[in-house]
Formats: sequence, C-alpha cells, structure tokens
Amino acid sequence: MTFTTRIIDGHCHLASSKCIPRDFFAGVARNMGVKMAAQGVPVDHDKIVRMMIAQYADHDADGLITKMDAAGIEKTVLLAPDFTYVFESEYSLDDLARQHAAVRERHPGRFHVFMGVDPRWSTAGYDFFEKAIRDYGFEGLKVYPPCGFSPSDERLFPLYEICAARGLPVLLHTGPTTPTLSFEQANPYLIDAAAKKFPTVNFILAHGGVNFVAEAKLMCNYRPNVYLDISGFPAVMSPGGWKPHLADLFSQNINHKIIFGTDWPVFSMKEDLRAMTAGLLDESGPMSKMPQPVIAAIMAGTMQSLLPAAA
Amino acid sequence: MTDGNDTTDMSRMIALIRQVTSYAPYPGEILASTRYVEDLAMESMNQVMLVTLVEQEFGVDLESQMQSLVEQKTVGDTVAFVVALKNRPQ
Repeated sequence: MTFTTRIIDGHCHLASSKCIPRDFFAGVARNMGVKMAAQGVPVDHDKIVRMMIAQYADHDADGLITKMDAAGIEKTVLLAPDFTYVFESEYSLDDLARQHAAVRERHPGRFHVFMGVDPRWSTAGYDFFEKAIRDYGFEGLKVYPPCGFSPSDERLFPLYEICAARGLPVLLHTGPTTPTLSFEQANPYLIDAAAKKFPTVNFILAHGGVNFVAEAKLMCNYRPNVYLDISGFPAVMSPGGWKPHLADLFSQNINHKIIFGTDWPVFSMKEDLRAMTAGLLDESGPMSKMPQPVIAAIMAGTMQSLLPAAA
Repeated sequence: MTDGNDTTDMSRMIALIRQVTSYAPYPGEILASTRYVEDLAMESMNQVMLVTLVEQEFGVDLESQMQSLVEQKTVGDTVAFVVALKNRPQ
C-alpha cells in the first residue's frame, strides 16, 4: 500500500545490544523459556539470551532507516532509557547519549531522542540531562519507573523542571516489562501527582493504549497534560487481537491524546514496521472509518505538537 | 532449494511450525510462500522456539545466523536458507 498520511513513530528504540543490558534480555528469556517448556521445546536459557542479543546489532540504525522507509515512517522518536543504575551496562550514560547523538547525525532529519536519567543519580543526573539537551539537542525525557521509583518521585522533579523550562515532553513507561525489573511502579495513575504539580509539562503514558488501558484512558481524559501511546499494540492481550482492541480505543473520544508508536525492536518478530503501519491504515484496519484529520493527528500531528518548537 | 529434497525439507519445516504455533493453529495450508508475520502472526517467542527445533531437526547451528535468519520472510525462504547452510562446506 502507499502511505498518504505523514507518520511519526513516537516510541522506538535503537536495536543495539550496547544500549540494552544483558540482564534486561535475561528476564525476557526466562519468560520465553517457561512458555517453550510448556510446549515441549527444550530450553537452553543462555542460548535464548544469546540469540536475542544477536538480533540487536543495528547500532547505527541503518537497518531501522530501511524499515522506516518501507513503512512510510518519516521520523522516529528514539527512547534511551537509563538502566545503568540497576543493571551492569556496556554503555555508560554518557556513551548512551553519544551513541544516540551519533545516530541522529548519521541520519539527518529522521530521529528525535528522548534521553533517560535515573533520578537516583541526583545532581549528577540532572546536570547530565541538562548537558545532553544543550549539547545534543535531545527533545524529551524518558522515565523508566520499573527501575524502582514512582514517576511522581520528588527526586524526578528537578528533571521535570528542566522539561518545563525548555518545553520538553516526558515519556514514562507503564505496564509490565522484563521480569528482572519491578512492575510495582508501572501503573498510569502514579503520574498523577507529577502531572498536577507540573501542568505545563506534557506526560506521555508509554503503552497506555495496550496495558492498564482503563487507567490510562481516564488519566488522558481528565488530566489535560497527559497523553498515551499505543506502542507494543501487536502484543496486546485482548480477545480478537489488536485491531478490534484499537478500534475500541479509538472510539472513546480521546483521539486527540493518542500517539502512534511501535516499540520497535521489542516486537520485531511479531510485526515488522511495515506490517504495523499497513495494518493500522489499510481498509481492514481500525482507522479505516476515521476522519483523515484524526488519523493525521494520531499518526504524527499530536507527537509533533508535543516536541519543542525547533524540532 | 538446493539439495533435491525440497518436499521433504519443506514438510519437516511445516511440521515444526505447526508445533510452535499449536496454541493458535494457522487455519490454512502452510506453503513455501506463507509469511511468518503477515500470515502466521508469529511472535518472537515462537520464532526462538522454531530456531531451536530447526537446529535439532536439520542439524545446523543457527545461533550465529540470527541476523540473517530473522530477515527470511517466508517459510520457503527459511528452508532454502537452512538447507544452504547445511550444505555449506565446513
């Protein structure tokens, strides 16, 4: 199909094993191993981890660009969560920022970057974030509460103040993740205190259209500065699969708060990027009967409006 | 396909695919042109399982081939890839 709608992927990651610690993969592999054993398939946990890591070798995003082009995606928001506080990591926080900056320079005009900082780095973390924004022009903050803090933890407030001063959005993970992290802090309601305290900062509930959907919808409907993205939608646990699930979400009168995202490469083997955009926009997809301006807003316009003016 | 046992290799592969998708069996006939994502809606876990089973069934080591392997879009592509790997001089 030909894509006539402008598309910004509002939630994506660099498929680089240098940026994602081994312990993250190890947790995912444990879940895989349990399911494999249940189907009578022999399990070699370390081998599963190695096979997963082997697929994360697109360090410069050349492969991602090819897939974006095939999927009609003009620009992508790369999220760089900070796992360095909780996991042994090949890349330091500085390395992580430098790598994402290098990718953006290698592919001009194709990527925005939301940088992660664990609030427990305290002043050093705040200084790092400010420097990354200044030196690299990153356009948002990525918060990963499953690392062990609430998104309304006061230690995040200095980072939110930077975002308020510079007009940057904050994207926070919600819902389950690798089982080597905690799910306790993954509920969308936990952003409420921060969203109330920082009314000029826009907060995006990552996966809010997929996990804890009821809570995410309410937050979007009643907090003016809270949005959700649909990243990870191919893996939604819903009867009938993701198409009827999203059709239902799109009928709730909060489409002005919904942002398209893929979560590539997390679901890379289930739905390729092209399969995701085509599946959303083709005649059998959940957007087929929606007005074009609404589709344009979900697929690009709303995300663009949340980015700083110069982006 | 390269070794003259196309049908046999394809049948073995299809049997493995049926095994790893047994939780939600594909209702149609699996052909060489059947696609993993668009037709079979396979998840990453299914594909890891499939790789494990293919290694056993075909006696090949696929761990170092993951980057190439995930780019194989159809069942036929994968069979050809695996058979070529198996026939490659050591």
